Amino acid sequence: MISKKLAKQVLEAGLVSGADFAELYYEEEKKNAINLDNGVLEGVANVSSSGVGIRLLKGDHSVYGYTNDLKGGRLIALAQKLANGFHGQKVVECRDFINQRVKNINPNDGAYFKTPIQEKIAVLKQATQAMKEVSPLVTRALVSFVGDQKKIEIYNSDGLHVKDSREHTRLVFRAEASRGDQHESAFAIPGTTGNMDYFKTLDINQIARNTAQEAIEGLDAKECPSGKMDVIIGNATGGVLFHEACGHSLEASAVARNLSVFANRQGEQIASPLVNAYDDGTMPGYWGTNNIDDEGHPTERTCLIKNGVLNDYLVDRFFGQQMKHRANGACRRQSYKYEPITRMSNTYIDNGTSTVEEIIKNTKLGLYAKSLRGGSVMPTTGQFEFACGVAYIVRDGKIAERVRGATLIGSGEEVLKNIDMIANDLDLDTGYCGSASGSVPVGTGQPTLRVKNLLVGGNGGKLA
Amino acid sequence: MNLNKVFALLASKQINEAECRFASSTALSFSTFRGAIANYTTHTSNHLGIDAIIDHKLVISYTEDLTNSGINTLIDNLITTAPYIEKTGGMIFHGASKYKKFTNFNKELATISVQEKQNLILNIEKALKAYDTRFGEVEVEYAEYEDIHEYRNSYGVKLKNKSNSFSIFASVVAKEGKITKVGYLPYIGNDYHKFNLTAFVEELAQLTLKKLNVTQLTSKKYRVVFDPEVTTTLLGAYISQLNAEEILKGSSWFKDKINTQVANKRVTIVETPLKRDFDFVGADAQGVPTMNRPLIKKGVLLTYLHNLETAQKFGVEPTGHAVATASKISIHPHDALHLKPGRLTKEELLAQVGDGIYITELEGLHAGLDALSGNISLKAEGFVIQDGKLTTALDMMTVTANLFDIFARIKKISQNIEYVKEGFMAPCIYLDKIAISF
Repeated sequence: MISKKLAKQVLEAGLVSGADFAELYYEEEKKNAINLDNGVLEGVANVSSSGVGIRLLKGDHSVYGYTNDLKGGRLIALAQKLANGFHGQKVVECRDFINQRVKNINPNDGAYFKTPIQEKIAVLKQATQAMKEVSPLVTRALVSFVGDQKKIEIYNSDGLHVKDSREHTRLVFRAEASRGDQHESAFAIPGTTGNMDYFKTLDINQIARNTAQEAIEGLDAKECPSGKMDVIIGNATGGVLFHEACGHSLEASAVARNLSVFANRQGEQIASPLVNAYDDGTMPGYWGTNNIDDEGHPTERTCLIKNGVLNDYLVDRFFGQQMKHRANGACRRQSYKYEPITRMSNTYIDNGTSTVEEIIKNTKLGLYAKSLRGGSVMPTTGQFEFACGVAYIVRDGKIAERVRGATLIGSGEEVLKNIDMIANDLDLDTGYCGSASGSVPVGTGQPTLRVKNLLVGGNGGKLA
Repeated sequence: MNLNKVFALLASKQINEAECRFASSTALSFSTFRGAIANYTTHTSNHLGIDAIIDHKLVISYTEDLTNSGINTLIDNLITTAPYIEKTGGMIFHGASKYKKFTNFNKELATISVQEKQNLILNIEKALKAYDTRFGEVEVEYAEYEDIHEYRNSYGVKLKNKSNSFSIFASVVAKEGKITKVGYLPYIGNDYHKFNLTAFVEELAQLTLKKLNVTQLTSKKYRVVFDPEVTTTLLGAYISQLNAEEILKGSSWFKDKINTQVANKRVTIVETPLKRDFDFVGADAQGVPTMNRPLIKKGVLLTYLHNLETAQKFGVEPTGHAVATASKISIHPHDALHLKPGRLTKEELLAQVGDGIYITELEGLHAGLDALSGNISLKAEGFVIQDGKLTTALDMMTVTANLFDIFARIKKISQNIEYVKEGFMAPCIYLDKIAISF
């Protein structure tokens, strides 16, 4: 941790040339991963890191630097070097620091690292056995326990001083099934920001068996047809579509610079009236939850879309000043090596009034993308692509054959407007989102919903 | 970093077989936005990784805390973890008789002032904005890296390399009516004076403007030409599957295919890590020397990519492809990799296609490629090929194919080999009967 005296010296050094805001972010992190490959403990990863990031802001300009040499003189020298990025007179003094109390949403107390390694290995062995027992077609079972504990401390020239600790723990299941030259894989990755009790609530054997079964069923999947069709997108992992196709376009880093399709459109109907969407960094235990964001603001629940109308954006201090919008606890970074910007936390479309059964029953011909693997988006145009994981054709209101190689393509606004049914089975999944401030853990979720007339890529000819 | 001290500390804890990797990096980057330098970032960071053989098992740990206490903790982690590792057979390299050396550090790059580099990207932004009234927001980023890598092991292997490079990345938003398109172009090198501002701006501007004239075709199978950038993306994914560890575990399509015809006879893929350029790599993460070699020759698979352990299991020489990760010594192809060009010019190749689709971008490979099956289904951008010429732009289309099938079915390869991102080089490739959906 950094002393108040040193922090003040560093921030003062940064403010000498006209910056109107200076911030020091300290972080120490330890990571551990235990990896079993087909039941053999092949490796244990132990990584520790610590460093400081210094950010200076002046109007709509920023300078940022980081180092993992934590000697006081080096930190002051870095701040002086960064101050050379501006060429004016000192305009603000660093205020006296006031300790900010943090409401602890996620009590975990270093639980992963306190759990004996033998206990974690036992869980992994159990999961491996459950996967392998499903069928000899399961040629490879990979399971890992991954824990990450981070302690952070933030000082800024407004007088903020705050400390926080975070822990992310995931259990990774991956099954590979093979028949001759044909290979398919499936995975499941439950995780928590809370304590290890979460893993006791999981049916490890069932998750392992389901993962193996999904990989095996993939061997018999047919090539997915292509073209425009109605697409039912499953809950939980399906939420990655909203995250990528819409969420990124609601981040201030794109909106403030007019690089988003949703810039200057607050109050406009941008989605079907069925859509209510939130970003909520306060959900206990969820993957994108934090007590505070990475510039020290308490996290919030922000309503992004209300009954289809664009309600609000995700905003950090820097871009918020340009937008004249208060920061709403959405400023994040992977580590001290990244300048923080607006990022999502747990982002989801809220429950609707239909049931999953009703949506399937009301679909004459289309695709049911039960899970999505991931994808990407261009916020300026809103255009996205997503690869489907498990997907089926729906015929005459019934789930029919499984298909592989399906990709969903469209624009965020088109999808939001074409959602015509939303079920009531909201669930969130764990993931990592990569962007300018690195890879951060996010929760993505939605209930099962249907999008009319979405472009699907596949190698199976026309849907019939 | 005093690695002698680290080995002394290891020896004091009865660890006599180990290797250390120390890396120190400094970087700076800045970007333009609306005529000014908007972001400026600088950093220095150091880290140390140790691999040790304890009870015949390879144990790995990594830290950024280079204080005595941090290094002690790192070594203690190795010792406490070792009893739980079940995999045996890890090894430390005993050294090679000869290592190729090349200084891929350009002293001049560091002497050019930050102001000059900032002016360069401001001038790129200015030139792009002035190029066409349809251009809106322009962003240009300059980044510069300087790295020192040091490797040492208990058998006396000592390697050190200092390198630097810079990159420029520009993006421009173009609008015409309701159509908005984003064009972008990267550049990477370590000779500052080789960068040609005029040519860079011209290429990006033309590339972006061409995207505005958009049409869509019907979904069916087309004759397709992949642009060099797309070919390199496919090439990287294809060669990654030669990882011998994945082969041993049955998780690669290339299993049991050494000395067999895996690709079309037109396909020769060569890696050149010893090419005297900024991406020169003389040795891998285990201290094994690299070499220039063909991986696939006239469609026949010649070798897998090995580290020490997989080479021993296959009974072959290690190939210098080891990379260190946080938990294991993994395997990765070198960046300097190319597909051998053919005889046709790009124009002659397009003329042979007649009518078809020219693909310039494939997006989402990280999710849209199933590495095991090789199936790809990806969003693409490109142009209509009509009477052998590139005409209207195409977007919102998907390309569905199989990675292994693509390299097996290449009909023609052009001669216009182009250097693209991360060192991969490739020409255009032409295939027929590729499924495209709109």
